Amino acid sequence: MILINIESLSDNELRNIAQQEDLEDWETLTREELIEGLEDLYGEDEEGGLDGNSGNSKKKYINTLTDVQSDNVLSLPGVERLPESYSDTSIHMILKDSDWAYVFWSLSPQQISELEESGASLILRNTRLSAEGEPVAEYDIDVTLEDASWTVELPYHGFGYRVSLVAVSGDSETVICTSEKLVTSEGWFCAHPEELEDEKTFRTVFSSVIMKGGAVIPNRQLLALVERLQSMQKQEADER
Amino acid sequence: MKSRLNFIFNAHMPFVRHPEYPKFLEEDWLYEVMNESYIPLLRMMYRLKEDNVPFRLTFSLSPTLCSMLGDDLLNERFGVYLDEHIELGDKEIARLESDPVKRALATDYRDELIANRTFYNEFCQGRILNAFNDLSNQGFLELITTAATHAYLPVYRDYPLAVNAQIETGVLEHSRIFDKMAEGFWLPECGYFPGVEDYLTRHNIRWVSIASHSLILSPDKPEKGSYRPVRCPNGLYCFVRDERLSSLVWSFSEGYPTDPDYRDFYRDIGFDLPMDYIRPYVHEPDVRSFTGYKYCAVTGKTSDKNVYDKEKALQKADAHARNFLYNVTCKTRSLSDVLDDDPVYTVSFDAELFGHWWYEGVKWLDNLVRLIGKDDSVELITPADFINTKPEVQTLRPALSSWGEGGYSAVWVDGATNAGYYRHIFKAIERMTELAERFPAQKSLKQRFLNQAARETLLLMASDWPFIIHYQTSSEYATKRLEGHIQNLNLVYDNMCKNAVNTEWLVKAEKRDNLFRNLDYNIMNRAHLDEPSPIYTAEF
Repeated sequence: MILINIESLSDNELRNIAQQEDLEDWETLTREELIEGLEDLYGEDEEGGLDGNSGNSKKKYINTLTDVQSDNVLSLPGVERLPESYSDTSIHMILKDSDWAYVFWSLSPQQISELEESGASLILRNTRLSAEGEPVAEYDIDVTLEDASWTVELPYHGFGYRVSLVAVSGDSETVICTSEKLVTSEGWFCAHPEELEDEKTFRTVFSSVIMKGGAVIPNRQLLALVERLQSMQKQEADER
Repeated sequence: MKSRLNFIFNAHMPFVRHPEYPKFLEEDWLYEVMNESYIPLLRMMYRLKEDNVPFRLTFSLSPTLCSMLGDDLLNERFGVYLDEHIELGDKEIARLESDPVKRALATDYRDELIANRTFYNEFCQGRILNAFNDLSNQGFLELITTAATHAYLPVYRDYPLAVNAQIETGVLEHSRIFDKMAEGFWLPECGYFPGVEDYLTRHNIRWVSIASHSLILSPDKPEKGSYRPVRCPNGLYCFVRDERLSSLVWSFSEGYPTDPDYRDFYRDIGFDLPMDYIRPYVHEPDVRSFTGYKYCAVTGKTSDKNVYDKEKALQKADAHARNFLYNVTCKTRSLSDVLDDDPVYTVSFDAELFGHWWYEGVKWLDNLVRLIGKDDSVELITPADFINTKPEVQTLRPALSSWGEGGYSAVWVDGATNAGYYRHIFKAIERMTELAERFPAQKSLKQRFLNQAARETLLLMASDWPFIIHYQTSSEYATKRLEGHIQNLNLVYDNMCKNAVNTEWLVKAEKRDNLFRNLDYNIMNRAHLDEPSPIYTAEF
């Protein structure tokens, strides 16, 4: 038996319990407010029942914790394998290269239950943002509750991107979680490739990335830039 | 026009220390590079000094490497490693009595081991960091630091505390060990992301090195190409790696080390001779490993290798040093009509390439430095030398980049083998932050428990584990390390949530992962970033 002291619960755990108990404004409450709110809530059940000395309230915390922490707590002191998931809902995006990002997410057990009960479908939404952070375009990818990661394309440079998990039920959409903004940059020469047509500029800038055999280092953006230059030169030659 | 050559060597090894075993396979990584790279490089630099050859080189010594090089247990084991391999040399000399060519090679290897042991024991007093520090104090080296566990920082951009903890711990450790502040910081894997400069200047770092495409793909127009350092808008100097010159050495397809006459790295008696013979020098249970006794030349893409001809290979090392210098001077000549200042060429390598991977690399470097010493048109400089001239440089925003395959993060986040671990690594960082904020200013046992959790978090972030998993070299060990550190952090988290301390685990963990002795877990508290940067006090 694990004796739970409410003060020992993590912020995430408190928030999960508060969400499960439909505590008002649970998302924005501070740690102190969450504790106070839960104390009030459970205090109604049984007098003095929040310090682990009261049977009912203690049981309630344990059940809630068991729900949200899977077997992690129960397998103490040693943990033999990595948890398959964590108790909170979150989504992260890591840039792999100039055009692709690795996205992974986790859904809390409560979130999964709600989605299963509602029959809502799940989409991964990739939103392109302007420099001011305003959405300018988005595309959706259908995902399932079994999915936990995806590789998404970031097709335009010089923009911010943000991914969200969205529950879709009929005509209504609910954003479940959103990643931090990831900003990609567009190189000055990518926007002004004509500047590199000047031989001296090209030599100054590119001579450090052309290898002994004459090939440019295998970088996607540099290679694209060289391709554009070649195409511009071919076009000019054709016109002549 | 004068060519200014800025050589930067990144000396780094992941923290591998297993006191729970009498002998541990992956600890050999350290002993091999100590014997084959670090000590030979140091001996070479002292020879240059004795011969009055001027030189200035930059070495980044990673905090994990420094921790291991200063560790009693690992140093004691290195002594045993040297003794055993000298003994193996004696056996090889006897075994090869009828093969004079290989016998001469075995004798060379054995004699080098003996010379290394003498240098290590008598000159360094068992601490090779002393020699690096000595050369720095005498004005030959600029020593710099890097991220605490060589974390690849761009993947942690959403975790400011984790990025800061890596940088701050690196800076503090360097200051503690070398009794001086590092002015430069080696961005692990040349991994730059916009914004990292703010963490660096917070800790008085003045310069970093970035990849060429970081400059070429900047949102600002680069005016001088890669040949003059630039400054970030916050003042941090960036020395741009010259990919072409660096690739003359470091290229799997066309670099000098691929020359057929050089010694082959992979053919080693640890894998080629009968187990009964080699057993005392490899690992239990009959796990073959490198011994350093290698008799084959690269030859080509064939398993039928020529016998290594050392004389011929050393002549090649001399020719390649001349070739490198020729490329430098040609380059300067070809740029003379487009540059109005002397070009600065930054070439950077992993230090372990020299001697360990490329056996003749130390001799190549020795030859090159001596050639430069006689050539008035080329000068060796360090970044601090350049900065101290108060140069006028362009202010520019570098772009995200690394020196990894493709130039970004795809090696460390490959989507197939290693990316799945970031779910756990990020969670561990979040949990560590949560612990630091829920339990600030703890004393005694809980403080030790939380400090150890902070160590586990930093170790977890090492770039080595996803790198090794990606390239499938020792992926089983890297996977175990990653999972072990995640589990350790979760264990502390779960215990602290119960207001408990697992003392049995703590004592073991402190003995095993005994690095960063001054690490304070409060570094992971968000309030820490609002405080001024720590004042550095040294204990050297």
